[in-house]
Amino acid sequence: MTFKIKYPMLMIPACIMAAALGMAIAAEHAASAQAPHNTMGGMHMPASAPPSAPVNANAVAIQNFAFGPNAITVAAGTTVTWTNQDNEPHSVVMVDNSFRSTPMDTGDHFSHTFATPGQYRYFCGFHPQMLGLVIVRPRNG
Amino acid sequence: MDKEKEPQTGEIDRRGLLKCGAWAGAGVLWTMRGGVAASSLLGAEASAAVTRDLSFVQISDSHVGFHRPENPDTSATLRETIAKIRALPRQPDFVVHTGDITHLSTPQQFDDAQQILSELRVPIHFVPGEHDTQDPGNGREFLNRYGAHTRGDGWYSFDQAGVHFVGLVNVVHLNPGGFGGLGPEQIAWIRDDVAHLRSSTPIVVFAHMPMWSLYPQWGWGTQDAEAALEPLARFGSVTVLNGHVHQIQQHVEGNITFHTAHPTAYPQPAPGAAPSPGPMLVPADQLPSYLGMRTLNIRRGRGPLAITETTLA
Repeated sequence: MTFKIKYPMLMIPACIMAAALGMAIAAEHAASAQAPHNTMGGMHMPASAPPSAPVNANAVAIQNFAFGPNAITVAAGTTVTWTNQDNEPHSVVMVDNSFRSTPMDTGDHFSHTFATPGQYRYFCGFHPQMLGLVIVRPRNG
Repeated sequence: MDKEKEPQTGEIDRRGLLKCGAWAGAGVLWTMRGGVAASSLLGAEASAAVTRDLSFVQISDSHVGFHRPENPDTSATLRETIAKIRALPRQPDFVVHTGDITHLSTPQQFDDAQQILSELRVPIHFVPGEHDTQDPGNGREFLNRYGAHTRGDGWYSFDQAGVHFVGLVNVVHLNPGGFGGLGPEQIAWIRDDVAHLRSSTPIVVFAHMPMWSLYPQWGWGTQDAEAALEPLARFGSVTVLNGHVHQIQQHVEGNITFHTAHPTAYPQPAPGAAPSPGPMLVPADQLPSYLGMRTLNIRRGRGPLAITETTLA
Protein backbone atom coordinates (compact mmCIF):
# COMPACT_ATOMS: atom_id res chain seq x y z
CA MET A 1 0.00 0.00 0.00
CA THR A 2 2.82 2.39 0.75
CA PHE A 3 4.03 1.60 -2.73
CA LYS A 4 0.85 3.12 -4.15
CA ILE A 5 1.22 6.25 -2.11
CA LYS A 6 4.77 6.66 -3.24
CA TYR A 7 4.06 6.13 -6.92
CA PRO A 8 0.49 7.05 -7.75
CA MET A 9 1.00 6.00 -11.38
CA LEU A 10 0.96 2.45 -10.13
CA MET A 11 -2.68 2.40 -9.17
CA ILE A 12 -3.64 -0.29 -11.58
CA PRO A 13 -7.32 -0.53 -10.79
CA ALA A 14 -7.68 3.17 -11.47
CA CYS A 15 -5.82 2.74 -14.73
CA ILE A 16 -8.00 -0.12 -15.85
CA MET A 17 -11.12 1.74 -14.87
CA ALA A 18 -10.00 4.70 -16.89
CA ALA A 19 -9.25 2.44 -19.80
CA ALA A 20 -12.67 0.83 -19.55
CA LEU A 21 -14.27 4.22 -19.66
CA GLY A 22 -12.37 4.98 -22.80
CA MET A 23 -10.49 7.87 -21.32
CA ALA A 24 -7.51 9.10 -23.25
CA ILE A 25 -4.74 8.46 -20.80
CA ALA A 26 -2.20 7.34 -23.37
CA ALA A 27 -0.71 10.80 -23.66
CA GLU A 28 -0.08 10.94 -19.94
CA HIS A 29 1.54 7.52 -20.01
CA ALA A 30 3.71 8.42 -22.93
CA ALA A 31 4.83 11.56 -21.14
CA SER A 32 5.78 9.62 -18.02
CA ALA A 33 7.67 7.09 -20.10
CA GLN A 34 9.80 9.86 -21.51
CA ALA A 35 10.71 11.21 -18.10
CA PRO A 36 14.49 11.59 -17.87
CA HIS A 37 14.62 9.88 -14.48
CA ASN A 38 12.75 6.87 -15.79
CA THR A 39 14.17 4.30 -13.46
CA MET A 40 13.44 0.94 -11.96
CA GLY A 41 10.56 -1.28 -12.95
CA GLY A 42 7.24 -0.31 -11.54
CA MET A 43 7.57 3.43 -11.63
CA HIS A 44 5.88 3.98 -14.95
CA MET A 45 2.93 2.40 -16.62
CA PRO A 46 3.23 1.37 -20.24
CA ALA A 47 1.62 3.59 -22.81
CA SER A 48 -0.51 1.02 -24.56
CA ALA A 49 -3.53 2.64 -26.13
CA PRO A 50 -6.58 2.42 -23.89
CA PRO A 51 -9.75 1.01 -25.39
CA SER A 52 -11.46 3.51 -27.61
CA ALA A 53 -15.25 3.95 -27.82
CA PRO A 54 -16.80 0.46 -27.91
CA VAL A 55 -18.14 -0.66 -31.27
CA ASN A 56 -20.65 -3.36 -32.12
CA ALA A 57 -18.56 -6.31 -33.28
CA ASN A 58 -18.06 -9.98 -32.51
CA ALA A 59 -14.62 -10.34 -34.08
CA VAL A 60 -11.31 -8.98 -32.82
CA ALA A 61 -8.14 -8.99 -34.88
CA ILE A 62 -4.73 -8.89 -33.18
CA GLN A 63 -2.24 -6.86 -35.14
CA ASN A 64 0.94 -5.03 -34.16
CA PHE A 65 0.51 -6.04 -30.53
CA ALA A 66 -2.98 -4.53 -30.25
CA PHE A 67 -6.56 -5.83 -30.07
CA GLY A 68 -8.70 -4.26 -32.80
CA PRO A 69 -11.25 -3.08 -32.05
CA ASN A 70 -9.99 -3.05 -28.51
CA ALA A 71 -13.46 -2.37 -27.07
CA ILE A 72 -16.54 -4.12 -28.41
CA THR A 73 -20.20 -4.40 -27.42
CA VAL A 74 -22.15 -7.62 -27.94
CA ALA A 75 -25.50 -9.03 -26.87
CA ALA A 76 -25.52 -11.76 -24.24
CA GLY A 77 -25.07 -15.15 -25.85
CA THR A 78 -22.77 -13.83 -28.57
CA THR A 79 -19.64 -15.76 -29.46
CA VAL A 80 -16.64 -13.48 -29.85
CA THR A 81 -13.71 -14.65 -31.98
CA TRP A 82 -10.15 -13.36 -31.75
CA THR A 83 -7.72 -13.92 -34.63
CA ASN A 84 -3.98 -13.46 -34.29
CA GLN A 85 -2.50 -11.76 -37.35
CA ASP A 86 0.91 -11.06 -35.81
CA ASN A 87 4.08 -13.10 -36.26
CA GLU A 88 4.13 -13.45 -32.47
CA PRO A 89 1.76 -15.51 -30.30
CA HIS A 90 -0.89 -13.79 -28.22
CA SER A 91 -3.61 -14.85 -25.83
CA VAL A 92 -6.75 -13.56 -24.16
CA VAL A 93 -6.73 -13.52 -20.35
CA MET A 94 -9.59 -12.04 -18.36
CA VAL A 95 -8.49 -9.53 -15.72
CA ASP A 96 -10.90 -11.20 -13.26
CA ASN A 97 -9.24 -14.54 -14.06
CA SER A 98 -12.59 -16.04 -15.17
CA PHE A 99 -10.94 -17.64 -18.21
CA ARG A 100 -7.81 -17.61 -20.34
CA SER A 101 -7.37 -18.72 -23.93
CA THR A 102 -4.81 -21.19 -25.11
CA PRO A 103 -1.90 -19.46 -26.86
CA MET A 104 -2.81 -18.29 -30.36
CA ASP A 105 0.05 -18.61 -32.78
CA THR A 106 0.05 -16.75 -36.08
CA GLY A 107 -3.32 -17.27 -37.83
CA ASP A 108 -4.90 -19.05 -34.87
CA HIS A 109 -8.39 -18.24 -33.58
CA PHE A 110 -9.96 -18.34 -30.16
CA SER A 111 -13.70 -18.07 -29.47
CA HIS A 112 -15.66 -17.52 -26.29
CA THR A 113 -19.40 -17.18 -25.76
CA PHE A 114 -20.41 -14.46 -23.33
CA ALA A 115 -23.62 -15.60 -21.65
CA THR A 116 -23.88 -13.02 -18.88
CA PRO A 117 -24.16 -9.24 -19.26
CA GLY A 118 -21.29 -7.26 -17.83
CA GLN A 119 -17.96 -5.60 -18.60
CA TYR A 120 -15.14 -8.03 -19.35
CA ARG A 121 -11.69 -6.54 -19.28
CA TYR A 122 -8.88 -8.63 -20.69
CA PHE A 123 -5.20 -8.51 -21.60
CA CYS A 124 -2.65 -10.62 -23.46
CA GLY A 125 -1.03 -13.32 -21.34
CA PHE A 126 2.24 -12.82 -23.23
CA HIS A 127 2.20 -9.03 -23.45
CA PRO A 128 0.34 -7.53 -20.51
CA GLN A 129 0.52 -4.05 -22.00
CA MET A 130 -2.16 -5.15 -24.51
CA LEU A 131 -5.63 -4.37 -23.14
CA GLY A 132 -9.13 -5.07 -24.43
CA LEU A 133 -12.74 -4.80 -23.30
CA VAL A 134 -15.93 -6.72 -24.10
CA ILE A 135 -19.20 -5.11 -22.98
CA VAL A 136 -22.00 -7.66 -22.89
CA ARG A 137 -25.49 -6.11 -22.88
CA PRO A 138 -28.71 -7.99 -22.06
CA ARG A 139 -30.01 -9.93 -25.01
CA ASN A 140 -33.00 -7.63 -25.61
CA GLY A 141 -31.46 -4.56 -24.06
CA MET B 1 37.05 -17.89 -28.26
CA ASP B 2 36.41 -15.74 -25.24
CA LYS B 3 39.16 -13.38 -24.40
CA GLU B 4 39.58 -11.21 -21.42
CA LYS B 5 41.87 -8.35 -20.84
CA GLU B 6 43.16 -7.53 -17.42
CA PRO B 7 41.87 -4.15 -16.33
CA GLN B 8 44.41 -1.39 -16.48
CA THR B 9 44.18 -0.44 -12.87
CA GLY B 10 45.77 2.96 -13.37
CA GLU B 11 42.84 4.05 -15.48
CA ILE B 12 39.96 2.50 -13.70
CA ASP B 13 38.39 3.04 -10.34
CA ARG B 14 39.61 0.14 -8.26
CA ARG B 15 36.45 -0.07 -6.21
CA GLY B 16 34.10 -0.51 -9.04
CA LEU B 17 34.68 -1.85 -12.45
CA LEU B 18 32.81 -3.91 -14.91
CA LYS B 19 34.92 -5.22 -17.63
CA CYS B 20 32.76 -5.92 -20.62
CA GLY B 21 34.57 -7.58 -23.41
CA ALA B 22 32.49 -8.47 -26.42
CA TRP B 23 33.49 -10.96 -29.01
CA ALA B 24 31.90 -9.45 -32.07
CA GLY B 25 31.82 -10.85 -35.57
CA ALA B 26 35.27 -11.24 -37.00
CA GLY B 27 37.00 -11.11 -33.67
CA VAL B 28 36.97 -7.52 -32.48
CA LEU B 29 37.45 -7.35 -28.74
CA TRP B 30 36.42 -4.26 -26.90
CA THR B 31 36.37 -3.14 -23.32
CA MET B 32 33.77 -0.78 -22.00
CA ARG B 33 34.95 2.05 -19.81
CA GLY B 34 31.93 4.32 -19.54
CA GLY B 35 28.38 3.96 -18.33
CA VAL B 36 27.82 0.50 -17.02
CA ALA B 37 31.51 -0.26 -17.16
CA ALA B 38 32.20 2.32 -14.47
CA SER B 39 29.59 0.96 -12.09
CA SER B 40 30.44 -0.83 -8.87
CA LEU B 41 29.81 -4.35 -9.99
CA LEU B 42 32.09 -6.16 -7.63
CA GLY B 43 33.83 -3.96 -5.13
CA ALA B 44 36.95 -4.91 -3.21
CA GLU B 45 34.93 -6.03 -0.21
CA ALA B 46 32.62 -8.18 -2.29
CA SER B 47 35.54 -9.58 -4.19
CA ALA B 48 37.13 -10.68 -0.92
CA ALA B 49 33.93 -12.54 -0.03
CA VAL B 50 34.34 -14.79 -3.04
CA THR B 51 35.84 -18.07 -1.87
CA ARG B 52 37.15 -19.34 -5.18
CA ASP B 53 37.15 -18.50 -8.87
CA LEU B 54 33.73 -19.01 -10.39
CA SER B 55 32.54 -19.02 -13.95
CA PHE B 56 29.03 -19.34 -15.32
CA VAL B 57 27.22 -18.81 -18.60
CA GLN B 58 23.87 -17.13 -19.23
CA ILE B 59 21.72 -18.13 -22.20
CA SER B 60 18.21 -16.93 -22.90
CA ASP B 61 15.17 -16.82 -25.17
CA SER B 62 15.56 -20.06 -27.12
CA HIS B 63 11.92 -20.26 -28.29
CA VAL B 64 12.16 -23.91 -29.27
CA GLY B 65 9.20 -24.62 -31.55
CA PHE B 66 9.38 -21.30 -33.39
CA HIS B 67 9.79 -21.92 -37.15
CA ARG B 68 9.15 -18.60 -38.86
CA PRO B 69 11.43 -16.77 -41.31
CA GLU B 70 13.10 -14.78 -38.51
CA ASN B 71 14.73 -18.10 -37.55
CA PRO B 72 13.40 -21.22 -39.28
CA ASP B 73 15.28 -23.53 -36.87
CA THR B 74 15.59 -22.32 -33.30
CA SER B 75 16.63 -25.80 -32.17
CA ALA B 76 19.68 -25.57 -34.40
CA THR B 77 20.78 -22.21 -33.02
CA LEU B 78 20.28 -23.44 -29.45
CA ARG B 79 22.34 -26.52 -30.28
CA GLU B 80 25.05 -24.29 -31.74
CA THR B 81 25.07 -22.20 -28.56
CA ILE B 82 25.43 -25.33 -26.42
CA ALA B 83 28.33 -26.44 -28.62
CA LYS B 84 30.02 -23.05 -28.02
CA ILE B 85 29.69 -23.54 -24.28
CA ARG B 86 31.12 -27.05 -24.49
CA ALA B 87 34.03 -25.68 -26.50
CA LEU B 88 34.97 -23.12 -23.84
CA PRO B 89 38.52 -23.69 -22.61
CA ARG B 90 37.24 -23.83 -19.05
CA GLN B 91 33.84 -25.41 -18.50
CA PRO B 92 31.58 -23.11 -16.50
CA ASP B 93 30.46 -24.11 -13.01
CA PHE B 94 26.89 -23.90 -14.28
CA VAL B 95 24.65 -22.43 -16.95
CA VAL B 96 21.58 -20.29 -16.30
CA HIS B 97 18.73 -20.08 -18.79
CA THR B 98 16.74 -16.89 -18.22
CA GLY B 99 13.52 -18.05 -19.83
CA ASP B 100 11.51 -18.52 -22.99
CA ILE B 101 13.00 -21.98 -23.34
CA THR B 102 9.99 -22.84 -25.50
CA HIS B 103 7.77 -20.80 -27.79
CA LEU B 104 4.33 -22.05 -26.72
CA SER B 105 4.87 -24.10 -23.54
CA THR B 106 3.88 -27.42 -25.13
CA PRO B 107 5.23 -30.70 -23.69
CA GLN B 108 6.82 -31.43 -27.08
CA GLN B 109 8.69 -28.13 -27.14
CA PHE B 110 9.90 -28.64 -23.56
CA ASP B 111 11.06 -32.15 -24.50
CA ASP B 112 12.87 -30.92 -27.61
CA ALA B 113 14.60 -28.15 -25.68
CA GLN B 114 15.64 -30.47 -22.87
CA GLN B 115 17.13 -32.94 -25.31
CA ILE B 116 19.42 -30.20 -26.64
CA LEU B 117 20.19 -28.71 -23.23
CA SER B 118 21.08 -32.13 -21.84
CA GLU B 119 24.16 -32.08 -24.07
CA LEU B 120 25.65 -29.75 -21.47
CA ARG B 121 27.80 -31.49 -18.89
CA VAL B 122 27.22 -28.89 -16.18
CA PRO B 123 24.14 -28.04 -14.07
CA ILE B 124 21.55 -25.71 -15.58
CA HIS B 125 19.43 -23.33 -13.52
CA PHE B 126 16.17 -22.08 -15.06
CA VAL B 127 13.68 -19.31 -14.60
CA PRO B 128 10.59 -19.28 -16.85
CA GLY B 129 9.70 -16.73 -19.49
CA GLU B 130 6.09 -15.90 -20.34
CA HIS B 131 6.37 -18.25 -23.33
CA ASP B 132 7.01 -21.08 -20.84
CA THR B 133 3.87 -20.46 -18.77
CA GLN B 134 1.12 -20.53 -21.42
CA ASP B 135 -0.05 -24.06 -20.60
CA PRO B 136 -3.54 -24.34 -19.07
CA GLY B 137 -1.89 -24.54 -15.66
CA ASN B 138 -0.17 -21.17 -16.17
CA GLY B 139 3.32 -22.53 -15.58
CA ARG B 140 2.61 -26.03 -14.28
CA GLU B 141 4.33 -27.61 -17.29
CA PHE B 142 7.52 -25.68 -16.50
CA LEU B 143 7.33 -26.43 -12.77
CA ASN B 144 6.83 -30.14 -13.37
CA ARG B 145 10.15 -30.21 -15.19
CA TYR B 146 12.28 -27.59 -13.44
CA GLY B 147 10.50 -26.74 -10.21
CA ALA B 148 11.72 -29.55 -7.94
CA HIS B 149 13.78 -27.36 -5.65
CA THR B 150 11.84 -24.14 -6.00
CA ARG B 151 9.05 -22.35 -4.18
CA GLY B 152 5.83 -20.70 -5.35
CA ASP B 153 5.88 -20.07 -9.09
CA GLY B 154 9.45 -21.42 -9.30
CA TRP B 155 11.71 -19.04 -7.39
CA TYR B 156 14.82 -20.19 -5.51
CA SER B 157 18.28 -19.25 -4.33
CA PHE B 158 21.60 -20.98 -3.86
CA ASP B 159 25.14 -20.17 -2.79
CA GLN B 160 28.25 -20.98 -4.70
CA ALA B 161 31.81 -19.86 -4.07
CA GLY B 162 30.64 -17.16 -1.66
CA VAL B 163 28.21 -15.65 -4.18
CA HIS B 164 24.46 -15.68 -3.50
CA PHE B 165 22.33 -16.45 -6.56
CA VAL B 166 18.59 -15.71 -6.67
CA GLY B 167 16.22 -16.98 -9.39
CA LEU B 168 12.97 -15.00 -9.66
CA VAL B 169 9.72 -15.48 -11.61
CA ASN B 170 8.18 -12.28 -13.00
CA VAL B 171 6.03 -13.82 -15.77
CA VAL B 172 3.16 -15.36 -13.81
CA HIS B 173 1.74 -12.33 -11.99
CA LEU B 174 1.44 -10.11 -15.05
CA ASN B 175 -0.10 -6.71 -14.54
CA PRO B 176 -2.94 -5.97 -17.00
CA GLY B 177 -2.03 -2.83 -18.93
CA GLY B 178 1.48 -2.93 -17.54
CA PHE B 179 4.56 -5.00 -16.91
CA GLY B 180 5.49 -8.39 -15.62
CA GLY B 181 5.27 -8.84 -11.88
CA LEU B 182 6.59 -10.89 -8.96
CA GLY B 183 3.75 -10.69 -6.46
CA PRO B 184 3.81 -10.07 -2.70
CA GLU B 185 4.57 -13.66 -1.71
CA GLN B 186 7.77 -13.72 -3.75
CA ILE B 187 8.84 -10.30 -2.54
CA ALA B 188 8.38 -11.39 1.08
CA TRP B 189 10.48 -14.45 0.32
CA ILE B 190 13.30 -12.32 -1.15
CA ARG B 191 13.39 -10.24 2.03
CA ASP B 192 13.72 -13.38 4.17
CA ASP B 193 16.15 -15.03 1.79
CA VAL B 194 18.80 -12.31 2.00
CA ALA B 195 18.18 -11.23 5.61
CA HIS B 196 20.96 -13.40 7.05
CA LEU B 197 23.59 -12.47 4.46
CA ARG B 198 26.52 -10.16 5.09
CA SER B 199 26.37 -6.98 3.03
CA SER B 200 29.69 -7.89 1.45
CA THR B 201 28.15 -10.97 -0.19
CA PRO B 202 27.99 -10.54 -3.97
CA ILE B 203 24.42 -11.06 -5.21
CA VAL B 204 23.43 -12.26 -8.68
CA VAL B 205 19.72 -12.21 -9.60
CA PHE B 206 18.17 -14.07 -12.56
CA ALA B 207 14.72 -13.19 -13.95
CA HIS B 208 13.21 -13.26 -17.40
CA MET B 209 11.68 -9.81 -17.85
CA PRO B 210 13.86 -6.73 -17.30
CA MET B 211 13.89 -5.73 -13.65
CA TRP B 212 13.95 -2.07 -14.56
CA SER B 213 11.63 0.09 -16.65
CA LEU B 214 13.43 -0.48 -19.93
CA TYR B 215 10.62 0.45 -22.33
CA PRO B 216 7.15 0.81 -20.79
CA GLN B 217 5.39 1.20 -24.13
CA TRP B 218 6.27 -2.40 -24.91
CA GLY B 219 5.76 -3.69 -21.39
CA TRP B 220 9.50 -4.16 -20.92
CA GLY B 221 9.79 -4.01 -17.17
CA THR B 222 8.62 -5.50 -13.87
CA GLN B 223 5.84 -3.74 -12.02
CA ASP B 224 7.04 -4.45 -8.49
CA ALA B 225 10.78 -4.64 -9.16
CA GLU B 226 11.53 -1.72 -6.90
CA ALA B 227 9.92 -3.43 -3.92
CA ALA B 228 11.69 -6.68 -4.80
CA LEU B 229 15.12 -5.06 -5.05
CA GLU B 230 14.79 -2.87 -1.98
CA PRO B 231 16.17 -5.61 0.35
CA LEU B 232 19.26 -5.73 -1.88
CA ALA B 233 20.09 -2.05 -1.48
CA ARG B 234 22.52 -2.70 1.40
CA PHE B 235 24.71 -5.08 -0.61
CA GLY B 236 27.87 -3.80 -2.22
CA SER B 237 27.52 -5.76 -5.43
CA VAL B 238 24.24 -6.74 -7.09
CA THR B 239 24.11 -7.99 -10.67
CA VAL B 240 20.71 -8.60 -12.30
CA LEU B 241 20.62 -10.81 -15.39
CA ASN B 242 17.49 -10.69 -17.56
CA GLY B 243 16.31 -11.84 -21.00
CA HIS B 244 13.01 -11.16 -22.78
CA VAL B 245 14.07 -8.30 -25.06
CA HIS B 246 16.37 -10.39 -27.30
CA GLN B 247 19.20 -7.87 -27.26
CA ILE B 248 21.81 -6.53 -24.89
CA GLN B 249 20.63 -3.60 -22.80
CA GLN B 250 22.29 -2.35 -19.65
CA HIS B 251 21.34 -0.11 -16.79
CA VAL B 252 22.78 1.01 -13.46
CA GLU B 253 20.71 1.88 -10.41
CA GLY B 254 22.82 2.66 -7.36
CA ASN B 255 24.64 -0.54 -6.42
CA ILE B 256 22.63 -2.64 -8.89
CA THR B 257 23.73 -3.35 -12.43
CA PHE B 258 21.19 -4.76 -14.90
CA HIS B 259 21.97 -6.68 -18.08
CA THR B 260 19.64 -8.20 -20.65
CA ALA B 261 21.11 -10.94 -22.82
CA HIS B 262 21.40 -12.02 -26.39
CA PRO B 263 18.75 -14.57 -27.38
CA THR B 264 19.57 -17.91 -28.97
CA ALA B 265 16.48 -17.65 -31.24
CA TYR B 266 15.89 -14.33 -33.03
CA PRO B 267 16.39 -10.60 -32.48
CA GLN B 268 13.77 -8.02 -31.57
CA PRO B 269 13.86 -4.33 -32.51
CA ALA B 270 15.58 -1.80 -30.29
CA PRO B 271 13.12 0.07 -28.05
CA GLY B 272 10.92 2.27 -30.20
CA ALA B 273 12.66 1.30 -33.46
CA ALA B 274 9.52 -0.44 -34.78
CA PRO B 275 5.75 -0.05 -34.29
CA SER B 276 5.79 -3.05 -31.95
CA PRO B 277 8.18 -5.61 -30.47
CA GLY B 278 8.33 -9.16 -31.79
CA PRO B 279 10.57 -11.25 -34.06
CA MET B 280 12.77 -9.06 -36.27
CA LEU B 281 13.76 -10.31 -39.71
CA VAL B 282 17.43 -9.78 -40.56
CA PRO B 283 19.40 -11.16 -43.52
CA ALA B 284 20.06 -14.84 -42.87
CA ASP B 285 23.84 -14.41 -42.96
CA GLN B 286 23.60 -11.75 -40.25
CA LEU B 287 21.37 -13.71 -37.87
CA PRO B 288 24.29 -15.35 -35.99
CA SER B 289 25.61 -11.95 -34.95
CA TYR B 290 22.32 -11.27 -33.13
CA LEU B 291 22.42 -14.54 -31.18
CA GLY B 292 24.74 -15.65 -28.45
CA MET B 293 25.59 -16.15 -24.80
CA ARG B 294 27.19 -14.36 -21.88
CA THR B 295 30.08 -15.65 -19.80
CA LEU B 296 30.60 -14.29 -16.30
CA ASN B 297 33.84 -14.83 -14.45
CA ILE B 298 34.27 -13.99 -10.81
CA ARG B 299 37.77 -14.24 -9.44
CA ARG B 300 38.65 -14.46 -5.81
CA GLY B 301 40.31 -11.29 -4.59
CA ARG B 302 40.65 -9.88 -8.10
CA GLY B 303 38.01 -7.16 -8.07
CA PRO B 304 36.17 -7.04 -11.32
CA LEU B 305 33.48 -9.44 -12.39
CA ALA B 306 34.28 -10.01 -16.03
CA ILE B 307 31.43 -10.25 -18.51
CA THR B 308 32.11 -11.56 -21.98
CA GLU B 309 29.48 -11.51 -24.71
CA THR B 310 29.91 -14.16 -27.37
CA THR B 311 27.78 -14.26 -30.52
CA LEU B 312 27.24 -17.18 -32.88
CA ALA B 313 28.91 -15.20 -35.70
